[in-house]
Amino acid sequence: MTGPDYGRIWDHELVAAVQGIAGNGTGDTRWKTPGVLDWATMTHNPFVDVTAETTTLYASDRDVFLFLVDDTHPIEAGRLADGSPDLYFRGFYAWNSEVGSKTLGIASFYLRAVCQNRNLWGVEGFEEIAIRHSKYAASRFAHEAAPALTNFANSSPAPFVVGIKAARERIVAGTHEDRETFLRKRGFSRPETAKIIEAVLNEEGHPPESLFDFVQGITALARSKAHQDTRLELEGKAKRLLERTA
Amino acid sequence: MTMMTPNPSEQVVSSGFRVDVSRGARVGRVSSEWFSRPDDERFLSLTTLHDAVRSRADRATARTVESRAVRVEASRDNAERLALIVPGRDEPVSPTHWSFGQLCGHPWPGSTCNMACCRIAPNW
Repeated sequence: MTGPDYGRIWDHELVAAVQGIAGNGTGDTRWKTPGVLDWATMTHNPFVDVTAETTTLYASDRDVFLFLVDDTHPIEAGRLADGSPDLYFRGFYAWNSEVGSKTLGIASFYLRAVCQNRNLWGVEGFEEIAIRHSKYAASRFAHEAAPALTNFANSSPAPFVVGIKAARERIVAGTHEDRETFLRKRGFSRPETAKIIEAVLNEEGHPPESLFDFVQGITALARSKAHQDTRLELEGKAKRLLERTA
Repeated sequence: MTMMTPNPSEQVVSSGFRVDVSRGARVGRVSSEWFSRPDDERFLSLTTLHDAVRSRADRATARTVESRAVRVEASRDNAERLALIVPGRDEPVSPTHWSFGQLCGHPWPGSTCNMACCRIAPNW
């Protein structure tokens, strides 16, 4: 039941657009339901059977929600502190309701792992398009959202990798004073500044120097926030910082 | 781990690979879906999911009707069942749980129907 101006996009239209990229979603193309992170060995295993427990393809009487990844083709974007490769893979999720329970939307990103309860870990480059079911929704879906999804699925990870590498190479702070000034100038409070520097020190084994170090420190601070708005605001700041290098 | 390298940064893996999840952001959106979906909302392939939503769409017809013309009929003979009647159709319609909820929450001009529905049939 919807208003007379409701711009219906059928759930099967979105699913068909996703099938155009991902086929059956079971590994017949690059795109599949995700594997699982093993916390004991800190490895992401892409090769896990699709079961009712592991699947990320959902549909009810009011909506659909689909999450797919390309986790058999990880991308190396630099190295970790111990010299091993820092691996990411591509992922996207899409949702719709043909009966007005929510918007239609697609989010695309890079991520490092998906755990058993389907939390996404190590997410970078998160982009989202949401379309309200207004009168012109169907045309926005056809001209904007569906092509955006296809572009993402077929795009080269090169610009992303180049962006990460450039951020790692861009040294912005050499001394403790530089670090404080860098963060304070970008609107971080004194306690936040201290927490960001400490997070990088703990995780990377050295205080933040490169732009990428600062981005990691800010996202670490974001993860510690229970309140979603605060977390999103911090992640937005980190993202803008990273985009400046690209 | 066997790896081929089709381009300098991308690898093809045949087993698990080490990751550092202390970097980047955590996103809980998929997890909240995973927690809330019952078995009949979980699909093992895009094909089976597509078939399910496609057949629902094929059975559906969309019509615009005035909300004041929607009637709820209750009968003493069958207290278990309320009938929902929309204009232009003789048979009562069978709303899904979701649609019935929408109907109950609809602001009915000059009517108390939504309250009545919920009072008469709390579990319908």
